[in-house]
Amino acid sequence: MITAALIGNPNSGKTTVFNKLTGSVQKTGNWPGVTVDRKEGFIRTYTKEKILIVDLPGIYSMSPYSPEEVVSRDYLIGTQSDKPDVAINIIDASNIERGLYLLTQVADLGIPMVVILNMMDVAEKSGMKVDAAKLSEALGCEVVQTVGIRNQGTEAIAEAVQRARDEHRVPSEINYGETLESCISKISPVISEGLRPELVRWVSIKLLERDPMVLADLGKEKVDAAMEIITAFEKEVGDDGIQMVATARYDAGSRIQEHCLTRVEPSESANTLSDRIDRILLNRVAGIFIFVAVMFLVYFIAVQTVGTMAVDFINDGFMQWVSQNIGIMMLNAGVDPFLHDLVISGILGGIGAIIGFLPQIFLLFLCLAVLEECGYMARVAYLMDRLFYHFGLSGRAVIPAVIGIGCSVPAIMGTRTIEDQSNRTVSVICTSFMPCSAKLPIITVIAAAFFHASAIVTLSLYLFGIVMILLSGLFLKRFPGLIGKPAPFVMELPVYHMPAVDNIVNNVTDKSWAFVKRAGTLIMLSAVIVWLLASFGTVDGKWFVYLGDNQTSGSYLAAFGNAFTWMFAPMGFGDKWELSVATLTGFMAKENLLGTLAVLLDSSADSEGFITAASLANYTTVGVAMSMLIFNLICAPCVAAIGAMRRELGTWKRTLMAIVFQCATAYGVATIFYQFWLLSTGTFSWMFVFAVIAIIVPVYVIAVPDSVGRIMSLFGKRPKEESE
Amino acid sequence: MNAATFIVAVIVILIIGGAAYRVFRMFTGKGSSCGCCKGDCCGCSRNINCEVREEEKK
Repeated sequence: MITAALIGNPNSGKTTVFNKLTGSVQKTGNWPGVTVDRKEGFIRTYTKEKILIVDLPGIYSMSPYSPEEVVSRDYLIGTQSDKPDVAINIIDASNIERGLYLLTQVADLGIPMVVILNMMDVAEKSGMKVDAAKLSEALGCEVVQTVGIRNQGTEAIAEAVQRARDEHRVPSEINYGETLESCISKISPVISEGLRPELVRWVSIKLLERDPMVLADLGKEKVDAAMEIITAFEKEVGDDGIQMVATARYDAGSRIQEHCLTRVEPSESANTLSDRIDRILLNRVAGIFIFVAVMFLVYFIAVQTVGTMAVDFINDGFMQWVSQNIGIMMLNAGVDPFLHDLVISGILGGIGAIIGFLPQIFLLFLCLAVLEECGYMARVAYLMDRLFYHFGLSGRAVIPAVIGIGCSVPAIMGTRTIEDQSNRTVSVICTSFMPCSAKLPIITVIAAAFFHASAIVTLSLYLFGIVMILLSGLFLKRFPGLIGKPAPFVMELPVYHMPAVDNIVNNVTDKSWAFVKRAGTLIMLSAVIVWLLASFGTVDGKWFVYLGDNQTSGSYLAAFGNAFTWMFAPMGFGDKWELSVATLTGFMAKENLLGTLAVLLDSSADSEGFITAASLANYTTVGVAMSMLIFNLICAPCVAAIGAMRRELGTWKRTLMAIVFQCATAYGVATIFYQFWLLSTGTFSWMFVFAVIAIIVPVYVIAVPDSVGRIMSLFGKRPKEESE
Repeated sequence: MNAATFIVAVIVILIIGGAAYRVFRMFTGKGSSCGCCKGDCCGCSRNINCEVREEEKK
C-alpha cells in the first residue's frame, strides 16, 4: 500500500481533488492528539496498488504558528507512527508563487513528491500559461495538471504517485544562494548524529529560522553548537537567519516561476469578476445587510417554505401512517398494552419528533454548503472582522461561529485556527451560543406555535447568537488570563466559482446521515428513558406501577422534575416540570429537548404522541416558551460539545468554569427576557429583582475599569498583573 | 405472554440494546479503537466512522 499526503495552501482545491480521487470512500474523523479534521481515503479507480490519500489541513508554511501547521509538518516528517511514502503538493496554478513558498519547504524534507497544478482553467482565464514540463524540470519531480472541479487530469495522479514511490523521485534540492548554503553546510555536520539523513538539511534550515519546535526537540548540545555557527554567520552577513531564509525561499519560487510561467492577454479574468462582485458584497455597510438577507433566504427556504412542507409531509403524513399502522397491528395481535405504549409513545414518539425535521436539517446544510463552496462564507468572516474587533474578538472567531450553525463540535475545534491563547479560550466558550442544527427543531416548533413567520424568528435567533458572542467576548475580556488585544486577521479570499456538486453532496450527506444516526441512537434512548420514568410511579405504597400512557403526573419523572423546577421560576417555567426535564435532557443532545417534550406533552391533536405546535401553544405562553428557548440556546452545549471544549481548554477545571459561565449567562438572559415580557403584559413579579441583578452585573464588569479587580479585592484577592 | 408480545419485546430489546451499545461506545471512546482519536473521543457521531475506517484498514 502507498500512503500519500495531500498538502497545499487553503483554497488550492485540495478538498475537491481529494473527493474526486476517493469519491464516497473518504471518511472523516479526529486527528490523533489534536482536534483538526483529518480525511483519508483510497483512490477508488486505481487497481495496481492500494493508494491511501491523507488529506492534511491547508497551510501556507511549515512553521508552527497554528495547530494545523503543526499537524501537517509532524505528519510529513514522520514524528507520528504513520509516515507518508509520497507527498502530493497541490498548487493553485493562478497563484504559483505562493504555492511554491510551501513547496520549497516540503521539498527540503527529502520525501518523494508529485506536484499537482490545479485550477488550470482559472490560470488561463487570468492570462497565465504554465509550462508543466519546465516546472517539472525545475523541481525535479513529476507535475500533473488538473482542473479538479471538472475532474480533469485527476486520473494521472495515481500513476504519478506510484512512479514517485517506486523510483524514489525526491525533488531537486532547492538552492538558497551561496551565502545561505554555506551556512547550512556548516550546521549539518554538528546536528546530523541521530537524525534521519533526509531530515538533516530541513532541520538545519529550521534552525536558521529559529523554529521553536525544532529548538525544543533537538537537544541542548546540538542546538548550542548550531546557534554558535548561526550567530557568527548572522554577524558576518549583517542580517538575521529568519529574514534570509524567507527571502531565499521567495527568490527560489520567483526563479522557478519565471522559468515556467508566461503571461498572455487574459480572455476573461476570474479575479476581475470576483473583484467586481466583492465591491458590492464586501461593502462596509451594504455587505452586512446583504449577509442578513442571504441568511434570511437560507432560513426562508430551509425552515419556512420548502423545509416546512417536507417536515409536514413526514410528520403528519409518513410518521402518522407508520405509527397508526404499527399501533393497529399490535392491538390486533394482542400485544401487551405496556409494550404498545412503549413503542408508540416512547420509541416512535421520541424519534419521530426529531426525524421529521430531517428535511429542514438537510436543506440548511445544503444552503450553507453552497455558500461555502462558492466562496461567500469566507467573505462573511472578512465582513464580521471589523465588528468582532470592536468587541475585543479576533475576526478568526467568526469562522467557528459560522461553522457553529451546523454543529458546535467542529466549531469548537475550529477555534484552533486562533493563535492567541486568550482569544482562543474566549472563542471556545462563546462559540456554542450560535444555535446549531440540533436546536433547529425546537426553534421551528416554537416559531410555528407562536409566530407565523418562522424564517424571521429563526434568523433573529441566529443574529441573537452573534450578539451574545460579541457581548460575552466583551465581558470575558475583563477577566485575568483572558485580557488581550485580538490579533490582526489576515486571510485569503478565494475566487468565486461554481460549487462543486460532489463536495456538496458528500458534505450534506455526511452531516444529514450523522443527524439520522444520532436520532436513532442517543435521541431514541433518551426518549425511551424519559417515557419509562414518566410512565411509572408509586401508587398506594407499591413501587414501579405502570400509570398508563400519557399519565405523567404522579410519575417518578414528575417527582424528580418538581424537585428542582423551582430553580427556573425567574425564567417563567418554575411550575412546568416538563420544560425543566426537557432542558435537562437537552444536555445530552439538544434534539432531546423536542423529543422529551413530544413524550411528555399529551398531543391532543394526534394520539400517537407527536408534539405539534398547537399542543405546545395550548400548554404554555409565548413568554415562557421563548424564555425556555433562549435558555437552551445559550446554556452549556451538549456533552459532545463539552467534550470538545475540554480538549481545547485543556483541563476539567477550565471546562467547568466555562460551563458555569454559559449556564449563568443563559439564566440571566432568559430571566431578563421573561421578566420584561411579564412587565409588558402588565404583571409585575418580585422576581424582577433577578432581572435587575442580571443586567447590573455584566454592565458593571464591562463598563467599570478594573471591575474584576475591585470584586476580587472584596474577597481579599488581587488578580495577577497581566504582561503585555 | 402471547407470541406477538414476545416478538415485539425481542425487537424492542434489540433496538434499545443496540442504541445503548452505540451510545456507550460513543462516550467511552471505545469507538476510537482505530487510533484516530486515541481514546480521547469528543463523543460526536462522527466517531462511528472511525470504526468503519478501522474495518476498512483490516
